[in-house]
Amino acid sequence: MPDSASIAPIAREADGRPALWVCNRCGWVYDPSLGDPLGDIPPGVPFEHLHDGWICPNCGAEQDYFFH
Amino acid sequence: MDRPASRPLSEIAAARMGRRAALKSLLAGTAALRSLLAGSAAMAVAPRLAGAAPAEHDPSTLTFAQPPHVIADDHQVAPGHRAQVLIRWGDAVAEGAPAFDPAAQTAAAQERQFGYNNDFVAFMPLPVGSDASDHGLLCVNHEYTNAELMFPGLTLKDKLERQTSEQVAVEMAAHGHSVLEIRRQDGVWAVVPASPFARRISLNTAMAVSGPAAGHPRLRTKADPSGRVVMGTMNNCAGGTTPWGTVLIAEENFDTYFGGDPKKTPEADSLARIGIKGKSRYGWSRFHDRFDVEKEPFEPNRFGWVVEIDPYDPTFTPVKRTALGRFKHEAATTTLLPDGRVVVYSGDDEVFEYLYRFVTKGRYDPRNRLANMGLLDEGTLAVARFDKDGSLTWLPLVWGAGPLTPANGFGDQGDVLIDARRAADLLGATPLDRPEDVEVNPANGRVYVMLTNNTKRKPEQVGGPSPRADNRHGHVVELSPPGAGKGRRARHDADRFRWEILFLAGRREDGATTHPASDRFGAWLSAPDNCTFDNRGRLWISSDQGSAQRKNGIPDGMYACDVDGPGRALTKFFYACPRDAEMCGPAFTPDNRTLFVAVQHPGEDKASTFDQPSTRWPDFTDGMPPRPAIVAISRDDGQPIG
Ligand SMILES: [Zn+2]
Repeated sequence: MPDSASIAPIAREADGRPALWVCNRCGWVYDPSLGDPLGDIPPGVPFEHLHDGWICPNCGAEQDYFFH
Repeated sequence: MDRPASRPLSEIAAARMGRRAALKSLLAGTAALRSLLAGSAAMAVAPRLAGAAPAEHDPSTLTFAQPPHVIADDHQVAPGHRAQVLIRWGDAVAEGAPAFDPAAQTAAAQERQFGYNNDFVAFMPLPVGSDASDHGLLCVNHEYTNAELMFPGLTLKDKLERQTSEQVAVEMAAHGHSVLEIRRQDGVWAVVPASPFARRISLNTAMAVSGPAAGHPRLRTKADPSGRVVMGTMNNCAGGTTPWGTVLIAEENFDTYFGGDPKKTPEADSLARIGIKGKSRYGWSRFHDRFDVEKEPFEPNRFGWVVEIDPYDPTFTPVKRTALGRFKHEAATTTLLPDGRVVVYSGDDEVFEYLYRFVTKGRYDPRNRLANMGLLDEGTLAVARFDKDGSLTWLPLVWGAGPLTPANGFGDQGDVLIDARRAADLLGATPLDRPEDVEVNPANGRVYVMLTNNTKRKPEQVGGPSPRADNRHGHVVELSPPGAGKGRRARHDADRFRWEILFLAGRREDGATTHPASDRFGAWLSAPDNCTFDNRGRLWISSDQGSAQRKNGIPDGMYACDVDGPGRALTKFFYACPRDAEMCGPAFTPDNRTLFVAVQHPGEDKASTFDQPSTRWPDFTDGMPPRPAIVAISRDDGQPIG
């Protein structure tokens, strides 16, 4: 059941919640508390647990373009 | 946030692909039409195989030969043309600008030098009002910055923490706009040094706010209790020009500059609708309180407007024209009605956002230039609803009418304009696939809308002007106001237009509906973004595939096609950007002998940095990072392009 993604360390904001990640291509923000409704990602999924095929819903950039 | 498209798949009418396009597809076999009808499911079917006879003759009126359609470190232009790099990031604009030294950048120097990530380009003839093509002002937007490519020692992952205050100040100075005086001699363009017109506009330029939202309580901050003076402009993507010789620059992804937790502000809902979530792409809020929404919750309301600049007057205070509404303006394109009123079109560049139109109340006065400076302050803003019968209805954003009332949180017209997206939601506007540039064809009076892409459109959201799920390659929609086809007699102020799809972009296997002969005489493109027209009414499109450039294996650059006649939608390839750049700002001189284009973010890739960039275009010198630059393209024989 646990795959490599789910055991990866999760980056966190100063207040302890899972980090918000920013797309360097377009600035769109992945907020784990919102998920990605357009990409069928429910609230509560940390960025590190997104499936490999997930891309920026706004500009299509891959996950490597995101930083936090 | 999950706002479905307005029409289900079952409602797509084949006719909406367009009479002419449908005919072409039938000629090419019916596969393209079938794939359109069936959405993404049938997209593996290639239209070419269905017994179509290959075209023997090139039906396009465009006669240039195409350059190699491959990604390279350097740029490429059609054979028989030259591409001159006119000005690069860091080159001198204002008097006293020091020579560019990438290892010792200062904000003071950048305030006098050409900014970063050039986007919109306008050529404004000198003298004003003439059609001079050898001498004029080049007006250029600087949309955004890439700190990891601008400064040594930064990477994507650590730039927010490691950036210095001076580097942030350089970034703020590298945003905005440049006005350059340029001259063509013996076919070569040069920037006129120490020109009295030369000007840099940045985040530090004071701007006035005008129109119905000026002075609104939701525009007031500690630094500006009047709500009428904003420091600077940012994320100026494309723009437009007015009949009276001013330039409109559009504030697009302004949401990406703000830190702080929006949920802790009185503007939480409004900030959420515009995409502000509490994390910025930039480190500015570390050094400047106004970019922290917890400290200045109304500062984001002071961006997202269209800004008017008079390039012929270097002392002119830029004006944010609130009557045109606040959203992520890709551009602002004007056209003149026969009675002298002015129409402005503007797309809201985000997936599932809308197309807007503004019609002035007052009339253009061709005899008194300065009398037109307030025209954009009064008029009617409207948003487009596309219907399955091929009609488009403009829905006015007028306070007090329909749902735009205090019961829905709109206290006045200022609220309607500040929250134009929410007003458009309530009016039932049609969500589109990233509406970017919108341009009026001077030859046929029709309006062309670039819809860049939308990978998030689902099969059940397909329909109307958005016929493709997972729309990776985008498309172009053609709008016909009543009277179109008769040039300036087209009634751009009408309540209802007709619409059809000019073409779906991509490869045949992606369901492209470009002219079948594109495969033999032209080239495929993806992600149409900005556009312009030549004097014969042919459409010139710049592309922005983003990170899909590598996946698609084709460069971004300039493409062109006829929009009327037997070569309609036969796309040809004209100019290739260098690696990892997008193409912006196409602008012809009035004589069409020069085409200016903007090469934006060369070398922008996930692993690319100042120290190890993926290209060093255009200098290719060790230690010099890639530099966004303006390129002037002309024919070797000096004849009009095309
Ligand atoms: Zn993105």
